[in-house]
Amino acid sequence: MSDTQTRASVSGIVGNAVLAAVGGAALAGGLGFGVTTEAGLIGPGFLPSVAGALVLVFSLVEIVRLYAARPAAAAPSPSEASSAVAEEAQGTVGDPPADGSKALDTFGRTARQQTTAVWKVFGTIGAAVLLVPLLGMIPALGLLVLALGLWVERRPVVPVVLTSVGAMVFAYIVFVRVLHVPVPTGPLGFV
Amino acid sequence: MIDNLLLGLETAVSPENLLWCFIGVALGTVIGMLPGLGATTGVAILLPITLTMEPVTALIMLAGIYYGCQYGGSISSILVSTPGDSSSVVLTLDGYQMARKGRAGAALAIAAISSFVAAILSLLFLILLAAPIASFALKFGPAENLAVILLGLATIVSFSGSNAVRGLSMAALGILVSTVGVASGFSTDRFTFGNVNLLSGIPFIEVMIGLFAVGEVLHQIRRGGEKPIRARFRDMIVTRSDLRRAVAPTLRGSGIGLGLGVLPGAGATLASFMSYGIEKQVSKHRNEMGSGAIEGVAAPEASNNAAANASFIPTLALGIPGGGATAVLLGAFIVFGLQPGPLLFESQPALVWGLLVSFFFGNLLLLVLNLPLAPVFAQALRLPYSYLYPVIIFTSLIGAYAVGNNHFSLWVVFVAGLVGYLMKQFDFPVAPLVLGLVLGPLLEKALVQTSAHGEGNLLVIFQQPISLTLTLAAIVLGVGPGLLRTLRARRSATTRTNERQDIHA
Repeated sequence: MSDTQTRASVSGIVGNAVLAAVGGAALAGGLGFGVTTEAGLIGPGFLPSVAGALVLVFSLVEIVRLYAARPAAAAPSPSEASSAVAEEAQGTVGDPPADGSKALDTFGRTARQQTTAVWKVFGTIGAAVLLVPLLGMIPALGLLVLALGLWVERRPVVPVVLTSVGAMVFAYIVFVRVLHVPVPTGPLGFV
Repeated sequence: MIDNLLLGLETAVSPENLLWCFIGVALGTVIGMLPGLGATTGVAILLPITLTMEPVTALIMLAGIYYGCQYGGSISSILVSTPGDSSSVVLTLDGYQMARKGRAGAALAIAAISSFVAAILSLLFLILLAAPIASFALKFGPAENLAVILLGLATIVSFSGSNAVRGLSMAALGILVSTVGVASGFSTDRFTFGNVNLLSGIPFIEVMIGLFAVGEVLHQIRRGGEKPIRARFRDMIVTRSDLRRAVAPTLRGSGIGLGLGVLPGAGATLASFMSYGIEKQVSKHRNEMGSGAIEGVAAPEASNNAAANASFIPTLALGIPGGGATAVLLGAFIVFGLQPGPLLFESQPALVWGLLVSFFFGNLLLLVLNLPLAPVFAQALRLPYSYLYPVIIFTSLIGAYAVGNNHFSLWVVFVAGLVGYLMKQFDFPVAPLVLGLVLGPLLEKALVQTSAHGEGNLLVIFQQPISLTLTLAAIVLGVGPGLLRTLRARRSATTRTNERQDIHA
């Protein structure tokens, strides 16, 4: 079994284990709401219990399947071997190299920098959402575009500023002037 | 009939009505392209500006906004994998893949053409069969509605392919998430953890924006991004072969859309998912589905549009909205002092038939407007992704805010974005989650009503002919593909064993 397959299998098992836990908790919570009413009709806990039980069962089935598939890959049939090669080839093309090699992607980043960039983008979005009540929605989101362009992507200043201003003007015209969306303005009164 | 059509034509082709129809279609296309702003929101947002108009003009404009939004949602699904509403989610599967292969223009053109064909077919259907279909739909009680929803959920198996267990798991998770908030028909609040924002449930449009727009952006950054697509202009144009391949899926999609659009509440989302699932079973090119097949664009787009038009049947003939957007339109009728229902056809023939005929002109305008513009829209993909994705996040967040006018919506997008990213990383399909989320409230309502109807016995769905047929179809659709795969695997294993025995002999 290749490293890529092992990683996919382990991450699949972890993901399904998390889902199974969510399903189990929902099942317990649903039972607490009451599966049936006193009249024997469906109660408020029926659907959460059934959905939770299904999530739990399907996740456990998937975990078993992933676990059972591990030894089978040790001696693959010719067709399984060729599909594994194809999958691995796709993985090579589609996914970043996991060894932290110095190959650069279209953003000019290495594999390690890609992971960091994801969390930088995610953190920037969170910061912008926090800033909305303080600055107003459009300025906060304009800053978001600036931060992503300059800090995360390290693009030249002028095109990033133009993109940010363009997005703000577009949003102002469409959402504020045309659609009359009451966007938060913040204490300074910016839209 | 002919007199009514002539009356409708006279109303629809007046310069004023044609102008407002055009404005409605154009505005609807722009609104539909914005993440999260689907037809329901588009019609609701623009309803106030029609209040000073004549009722028929206002309704023609609102209907134009409705189907303009439907097509606009398809554009953003195809170009940036960000559906405007849930009925465009399926287009992100093959439409977006076509765009990544430099065929965005062709995907947009096929979407426009199949939409138009479906609209015309459904319009003919609407004119000829509105009354009889409406009376048939009246026979649909709780058990039949429950069976339709089960049928919709069963399609997940077919479009999840070999990953059916994960698809089912995600659909169940979607249903589970839809149960957050005050239960349908009860006063119990579930899984709200004391947060008042969760009392009305987790807003699915915001979840969808997070899963698809933000999740896709984060996934692209992790993958290293796509190079800007520098497709040649001729690759952007739809070919004869594309058109040939689109004919059968468009007709099948239109049929499914018509059938489901007529049923109150079933709507365009279910139709688009179901037509994709069926296409994956019957299409000659089913192996290409999911990697940029024309069939994966034509069928759901046709069914989406056919269902949107067909949903006017219960709205106009019975006064029961077929979906969210028609519910808002129903509100518009009432604002204008009109009462939709069987009497409307007799009391307001110019309005009803004018509106129906205007659908033809509206869809024609949509085609004329969008077919030449398809390659132009597709030029958006030439922008470097590092400039494009901040703008996608910007419009996604403000679009989500516009839906709920609530800061909480932004946090829902934020969390759903992380979930969407992790799902892509761990290879969990997103579309079944959305279907579960959309169908969850309808499923619960149907379960509660069926339970009351059967005095606690849900097996009543096997006791009535329509619901029995639909439930059996759901079982076949749910179990059939897995059973076929197992039988095929066994047969090939037997063949291999026999071949080996022959060689040894």
